[in-house]
Parts: sequence; C-alpha cells; structure tokens
Amino acid sequence: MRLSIVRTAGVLFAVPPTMLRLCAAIATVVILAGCSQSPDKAAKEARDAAGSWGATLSAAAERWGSGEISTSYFQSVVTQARTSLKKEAQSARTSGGDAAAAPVEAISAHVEAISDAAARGDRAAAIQAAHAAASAVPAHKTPPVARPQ
Amino acid sequence: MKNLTNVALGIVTSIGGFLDVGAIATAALAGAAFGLQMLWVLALGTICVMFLTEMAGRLACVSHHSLVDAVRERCGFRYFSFLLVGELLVDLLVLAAEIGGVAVALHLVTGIDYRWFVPIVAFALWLLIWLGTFSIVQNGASLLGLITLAFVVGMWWVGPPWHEAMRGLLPSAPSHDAARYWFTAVGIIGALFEPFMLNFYTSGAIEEKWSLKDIPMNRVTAVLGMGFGAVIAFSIVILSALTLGPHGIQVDSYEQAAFMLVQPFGSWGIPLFAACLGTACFGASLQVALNLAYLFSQGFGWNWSENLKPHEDARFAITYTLAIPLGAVLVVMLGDPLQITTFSMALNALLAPVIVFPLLILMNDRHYMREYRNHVVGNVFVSAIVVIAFLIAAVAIPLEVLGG
Repeated sequence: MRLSIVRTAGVLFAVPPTMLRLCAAIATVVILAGCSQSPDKAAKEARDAAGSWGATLSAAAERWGSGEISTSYFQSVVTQARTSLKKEAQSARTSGGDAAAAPVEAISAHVEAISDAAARGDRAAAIQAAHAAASAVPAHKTPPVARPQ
Repeated sequence: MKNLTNVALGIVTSIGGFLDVGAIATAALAGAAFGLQMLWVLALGTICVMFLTEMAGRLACVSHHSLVDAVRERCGFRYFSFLLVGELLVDLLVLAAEIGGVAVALHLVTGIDYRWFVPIVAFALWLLIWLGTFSIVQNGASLLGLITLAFVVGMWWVGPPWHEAMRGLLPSAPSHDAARYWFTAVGIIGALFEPFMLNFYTSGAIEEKWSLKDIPMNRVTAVLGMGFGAVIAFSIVILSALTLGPHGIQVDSYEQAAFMLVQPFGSWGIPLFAACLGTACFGASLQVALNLAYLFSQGFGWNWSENLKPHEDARFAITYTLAIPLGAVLVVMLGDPLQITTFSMALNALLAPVIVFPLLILMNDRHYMREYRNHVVGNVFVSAIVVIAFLIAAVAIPLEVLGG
C-alpha cells in the first residue's frame, strides 16, 4: 500500500491517503453540520434561554424581597438579563424568524417593569413582575438526577 | 518534621490552587444543565490529572528539567515552535478568562461594570509578579484560595443525595442535548488538565530545587492535593445541580452561577461566591502569566526565575509584562468572560495531546528518567483519556460554536 508520510513532532507517522481523505471528509461534514442551525433548534434554544432568565429573575426578585441579596446585585442580574435576552432575540430572529424570538420577547416585556421596580425600591412590584416573566415562558427544570435516554 | 510540614503545605496549596475560572464555570454549567449526571467526567479527569501532575513533578525531580525545557531538548526546536504557538494562543485566552473572572467577582459585589476593573486587576497582577517571589506568588495565592472550601460547606449544608451522586460517577449517555453535554464534558476535562498547569508545576519544582528526595512528597501532593481539590469541583456540580437546575436556572452568566451559594449562606452567599471566584481566578492568572514567561524563557534559553530581580532576567520580566495587558485587552474586546472561559477550556482539551504525548515520551526515556520511568498503567490510562478528550473536542467544538 502506498503510504504518504507526515512528519510531525520529529516522529514519523505513516498515514494512508484514504485515511487522510476520510478525516478531511469527516471534518467537512462536522463543520457544515455545525454551521447550519435549523429554525426548530433556534426556537428551542431561544425558549430555553428565555425560560432560564425568567426563572433567574423570579428567584432573584424573591431573594431581594427577603433581603438575601443586595439592591446593586439585583440590578446587575436585571441588567445582565436584559443584555442576554436582547442578544438571544437577535440570534433567534436571524435563524428562526419572529416566531423563534417570541418567547424571548415575552420575557423581555417584563424586564423593564422589574428594572423600574428595582430603581424605586419596590420589592413587591419587582416580585410580581418577575413571577409574571417566569410564568410567561416556563423554564425547563433539570432534576438533580437526570435519567439518560 | 520539616518534611511533614512541606507535604502539608503542598497539599494545602494544591487544594487552594485547584480551582480556577474554568473549573468553577464548567462545574456550574454541568450541574445546572445535567444534574449529577456528569460527575463521572470530573472523576475520570481528576484521576488523569493526578497521573499527569505526578509525572510532571517526577520529571523535574529526576531530570532537573522543566517540561518545556525537556520537550525542546528531546523533540527539537521545530516541535517546540509548534507547541509555543498553540500554548501562547490558548494561554492568552485562559489569562483573559482568569482576569475576566476576577473583574466579574468585583462586579458582583459592587455592581460596577466588570470592564472598569480589568485594567486594575491587570496592574495588580503585574505588580505582584514584578515585586514578589515564587513562594509568595504560589503559596500566598493558594492559601487565599482555601476560601473555595465554602463550596464544600455549602454542599453539606444543602444536603446532597449521596446515593444519586454515587450513581453519577458511572459513565452515562446524555439525558438531553447531546452536543452541549459533550462540549461541557470536554470543558470539564480541559479545565482539569490545562496545559499551562503542567509546565508551571515543573518550573515551580525547579524554582524550589526539587531533587530525588522530593519524589514521595510530589506523589503525595499529586494524589491528595488534587484529590481533595477535586472535592471542591464536585461540590460545585452538586450545589449547582441542587440549587439551580431544579428551579430552571441555567448558567449563562456568572450572575446566575452565584445563586448557588445563596441557599446555604443567605445574604453571605453572593459575597462568598465573589470571594471564591476572585481569589481562585487571581491565583490562576498569576500562574498563567508566569507560565507564559517560563514558556518563552525556557524555550529560547533566556535567564528565568520568579526569584530573580526583574533586571536579572529582563526578557522573562518583559514577557509577562506584555502578556498581562494582552490578556486584559482580549477580555475587554471579546466580552462575556463566561463564554471566553468555556471556549478556552475546550481548546485546552484540543491542545492537551501536544503537551501530554511529549511528556509521556520523556517519562519513558532512560536518558532523562533513569530507573524512575513510567509504568505501563500510567502510560495507557493517560494516553486513552487525552485521545478521547481530543476526539470529542474536535467534534464538539465546531458543533457547539458554529451551531451557536
């Protein structure tokens, strides 16, 4: 069998050309598969991200309400949520259209109300708005013991 | 008695220095997204890193060479340049992630945008390396890092389901989202055996003039230090699995990860998380910055030692003086420290074979190791894990990154 020689690391490895072609083909398929994101996948990712941020805002508002986290930290969470959701909405819209971005927009709609409540120091209003955000898109909850498929 | 003190210090500093931004981020991500299901990856990676650390330390004790020094000598300058480019790119990304981690920690307690803290952190980092000695840099940062034991206390407080945690130690297929599962697995392994860590460890051994009599201490430090250190990473996975995942909170930012300590510690939770993240990342960023200086100095035959005054090893000092601002610029330019972290940890897994296989060659070389060469078990186990991690990384990185 004709062998092509690849010199790497000062060590000689003998690699058949068919093996090289196979590796190149696998790499191409993997990269092409990775490049294209289906609308369904985009919609699922957007829904997951929206649900997670809804749950985060809800938990943060409750903790702020009970004095377990500071106002500045709560505001940081809200700001981070706003930034992430904006990025997520753009990405979902590009890959899956307006429908894919809808869950993200649903959470974003409540973020301003939460932010205003935080600025006013109105803990009850923040909790109410955060709960509304969390119920707009229910989060995918992971039990500690996830069963393999 | 002095030996016992040294062993104790070695173990304590290994525990304190075990965590860095990668270990915290990947463990938190894994726990929130997959519960206790990924504990097996952590266990496998920990055993592998114990082997690797012991080997690297033994190489320094027997051959009195640092890893990079020995690789350049044994494999030639051409291979070294290949290693240099790969490690330079990955180490700069890791340095950016670590600086970003400290800046985010300060942001968590002050509410001020993390980018404002990046130059301050970079300057403090440079100043400590410029003025400090190796023992101050290594032991001081690692002792401060013991605060990360808060994760272990938090885990006990929350009350982990031990039986289920044990089941998590058995390898299993993903329950959902296979691409993300394997990308996270690669990140966990990449965070455990970061290539910079091996050369930093051997360089430290040379700095501290280890010899044959230090081989037992090296072995105990590698096994107990890394073992106890890994307990902290296990605690983060468990805490995250019990406090974030069940509420539907995924870790897309450090603000979300910080919640894991609120349940056990109440109002102390966020400051404690910030302290853990800040000290762990600061210690690791000292090591990465120094490792870049070791890498260039040992590779090009310059004077090098953190114990020398900067004017005595000027090129060594210039290297970290340039690397630190570069890392700082990267974290500001690329944004989102968590994404930089997860990506750089996966790249670590890709780079691992480039540094681990020469290490294995050296560990089996009679000229370097004399009668202290490797046993077959270590060779086979480490090779298998590194090859598997590399293959998974080669597939998972394009799937996760290009697929968004």
